[in-house]
Amino acid sequence: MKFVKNYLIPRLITYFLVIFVGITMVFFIPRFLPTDPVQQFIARFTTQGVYMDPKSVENMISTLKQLYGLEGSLWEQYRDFLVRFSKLDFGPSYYQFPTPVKTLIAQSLPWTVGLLLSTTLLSWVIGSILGGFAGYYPDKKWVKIVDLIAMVIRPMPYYILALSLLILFGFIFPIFPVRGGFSIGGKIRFDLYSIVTILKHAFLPALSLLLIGTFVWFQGMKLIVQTVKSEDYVRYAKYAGVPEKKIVYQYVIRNAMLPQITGLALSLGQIFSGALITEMTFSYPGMGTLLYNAVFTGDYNLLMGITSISIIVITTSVFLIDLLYPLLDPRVKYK
Amino acid sequence: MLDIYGRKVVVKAVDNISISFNQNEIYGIAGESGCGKSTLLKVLFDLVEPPLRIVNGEVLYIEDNKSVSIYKTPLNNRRKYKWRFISYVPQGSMNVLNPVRKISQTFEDFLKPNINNSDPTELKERIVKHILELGLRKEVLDAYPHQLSGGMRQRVTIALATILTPRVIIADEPTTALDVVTQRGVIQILKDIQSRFNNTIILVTHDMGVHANVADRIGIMYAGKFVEEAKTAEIFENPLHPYTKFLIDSLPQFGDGRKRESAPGSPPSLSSLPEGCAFHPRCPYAMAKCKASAPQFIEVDKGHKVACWLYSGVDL
Amino acid sequence: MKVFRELLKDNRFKIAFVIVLLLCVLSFLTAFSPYDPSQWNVVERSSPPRWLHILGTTSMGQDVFWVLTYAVRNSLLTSLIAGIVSRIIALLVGILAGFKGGLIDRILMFLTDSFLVIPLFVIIVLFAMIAKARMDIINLGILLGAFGWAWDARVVRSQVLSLREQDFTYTSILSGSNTRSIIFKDYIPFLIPLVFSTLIGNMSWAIGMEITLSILGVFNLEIPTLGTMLQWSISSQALFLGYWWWVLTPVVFSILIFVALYLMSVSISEYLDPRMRLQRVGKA
Repeated sequence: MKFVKNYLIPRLITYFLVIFVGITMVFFIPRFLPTDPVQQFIARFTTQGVYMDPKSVENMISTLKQLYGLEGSLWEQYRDFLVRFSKLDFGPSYYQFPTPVKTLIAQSLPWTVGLLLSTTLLSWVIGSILGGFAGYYPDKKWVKIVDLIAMVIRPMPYYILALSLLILFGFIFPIFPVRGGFSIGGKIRFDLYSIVTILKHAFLPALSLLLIGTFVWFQGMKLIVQTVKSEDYVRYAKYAGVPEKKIVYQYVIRNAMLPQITGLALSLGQIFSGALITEMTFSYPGMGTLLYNAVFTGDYNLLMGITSISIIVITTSVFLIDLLYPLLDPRVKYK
Repeated sequence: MLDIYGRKVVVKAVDNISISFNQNEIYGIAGESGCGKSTLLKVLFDLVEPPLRIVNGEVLYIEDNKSVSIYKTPLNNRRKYKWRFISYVPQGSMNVLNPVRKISQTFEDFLKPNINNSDPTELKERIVKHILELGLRKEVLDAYPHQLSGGMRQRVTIALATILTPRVIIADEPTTALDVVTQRGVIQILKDIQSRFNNTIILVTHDMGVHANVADRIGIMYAGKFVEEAKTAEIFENPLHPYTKFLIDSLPQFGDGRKRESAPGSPPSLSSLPEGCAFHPRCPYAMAKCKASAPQFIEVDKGHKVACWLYSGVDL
Repeated sequence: MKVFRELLKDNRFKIAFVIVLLLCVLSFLTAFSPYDPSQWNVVERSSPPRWLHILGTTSMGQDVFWVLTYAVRNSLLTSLIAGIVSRIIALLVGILAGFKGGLIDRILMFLTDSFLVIPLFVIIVLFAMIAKARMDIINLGILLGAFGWAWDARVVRSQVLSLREQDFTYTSILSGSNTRSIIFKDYIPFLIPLVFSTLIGNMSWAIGMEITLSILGVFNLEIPTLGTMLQWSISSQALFLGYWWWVLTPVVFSILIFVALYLMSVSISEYLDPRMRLQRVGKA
């Protein structure tokens, strides 16, 4: 019970507050900028040489205002926005008018989440294990080699790495398909062919995410382990003759995990962004490509929808990881 | 030898010491911070890591008339002395217990590799028995380190260090950072252990009060060397070395309302020691001889050794 | 100066420094550029590297090398602005929160944490898309700076917190110094190296963001930057048409910048970290 009160409740409150702050930002940003999306919309028609009589333009403006939620005073707009948000109603998209934004997002979200979840988990586990050993035995040759590679790969933004992989494996050695999440026109079923096709299409984007992720976790863990290795309790146990294997697992890694998990939670936001960019490169049918299309067509509603959903997804994941933490750190559990 | 960005500096943390500790005694080492106490200890219990290095000398572990020169023994043979013959309680025992393991688990971790019997129930019984013997409550074993107070952790660490009843226990500043009441508990546990197991405790602290309470013999260290050694009563009643005199005089005494003074100045940095006797810049009795050469550590009275030109008479 | 010389002993810093020097030289060369980067068809189109145009030309008839000089300069400027703006905000927030404590601390930390958790990328995209017409390198720098301060604010705050508990703070307060002089005279010297090491990491992030935003098309494509160069080459199908020099140039130079900034930040922060220093000394 004490756990619930001291740990769970404050975090729950923070969770909702953060989402609230994020959504408010999404609401206010467009309204603070001088450009009027409605005028932009209209302007797009006029520049394309379409003629409209003033009456229709007026109708259009008011309809657009309704769809964009720009009617009424600021406070009324905000209220409406919040109400519609709770129903996850972001209005119709422009990119694929009149499909509601909700539907588009619902279609692409699973692809993103699937890609993201698997690569994040895998790269975190692999990176942490490798980093753990590297931190403990920093003088081995393979550690130095990995370090060198990491130095080149790690600072690269997802885009460049994704591009290089695309060129390498899509064109130069065309093993993997370069676009889409599934073969064109095929239907997804629960059979081996579907699964294999999905995996084949997901391989390149997953690889680029995996590579960068693994190296990031590798370096993080290595640094942490190096610090923990010199902690008093490790040296004391070593002196008393506690076997090396036990020290590595129970004394070093167990303690190093804690800041590593915190690091995972903190970087989720960036991983998400990276995933979006990678998707765009491979035209993978997830939120990333959707985002690109939204920007390209100036689809305002879709953009707001994507942003809001992203905020929810990330905040929830961080919250879940936060809940996991006390299971590993007894200091938090019993405070 | 340190190479700090191009400047090579040799710090002689411990220099020219010849000392022996007897069985069945509590030997106190006193001295200010930075005098090399901790380094001496590390050398004694064989925990010499870079940048610390042994340049010359030997350490003998003597048990039942058999003596082993520990630094002349190959590395893999040294293992069996640690924790069984000699163990230590480090300074600031706050952080020596693994924060994610229960106390009982830490005890098992430390005990298992050092004994042959691995029957888990017997292990647990042995641990519980030891804990209770030292006056600690059984519940302590089920706790995590952060749930215990500082003093409690100190006592648990002492219990941990003595689980195999070693012949020599080295305690580095066990009472520092504790309140007076808790200090008493820690001192009590040390006394109990010594009287129960008849082993040797080497107790390092700058607190002369603790030495007065617990030590049989005291050795005073200054700037990496021993300057005086005698039985406790002798040190307090008849301090010979000027530094020792300052140490004793600085202690408050009942009924004596005089102003307390400590030695003027501060201890020298071990990387740039003064010529001759290291204490001469602060010594009120300094003579020309003191600046020229360092005095030897010699016995001037029964069981009372001093390194001071005041007592060494003519140059040897 | 001494610090600089000691840093140079680290191989990583040496390499990074050389690369940065090269980039600075390139940036300065813009003053001598014979072509205006916003003009098209000033030279023969789509020709591979050979003398006079040592890095080839683009499909729009621009000399790749001279466009590169502008691109490097602009990208560096943007990231520098972003880095400085975000450091200033981080310092302000961190110092305020750490020194004042209490409610101000809680509110500021809540804001900071929100900025850390919320996926800023999408928000920045939102921002940039709407302000597209008015985007130039300075505005972009400010925009990125306004979002990149969160992590450092926390770091500064914890440093200020520990400084606050030190004896010298109490002494200063008791002897009557006012808050501002304490902060400026006593704390800043501790905080500057901290902030500097993250400045470089932040610059790296800023360039990455700039490239990404350009690829997305939310940045003004008229302005030559590494990102826009890449975008133009890709959207003109340079790869398929075999104009590898046009794509490779921005890619290679981006990688160079990232590697250099990364090596710099790693060697500087290792230099500043006393624990690593001790481990190095021990190995000697």
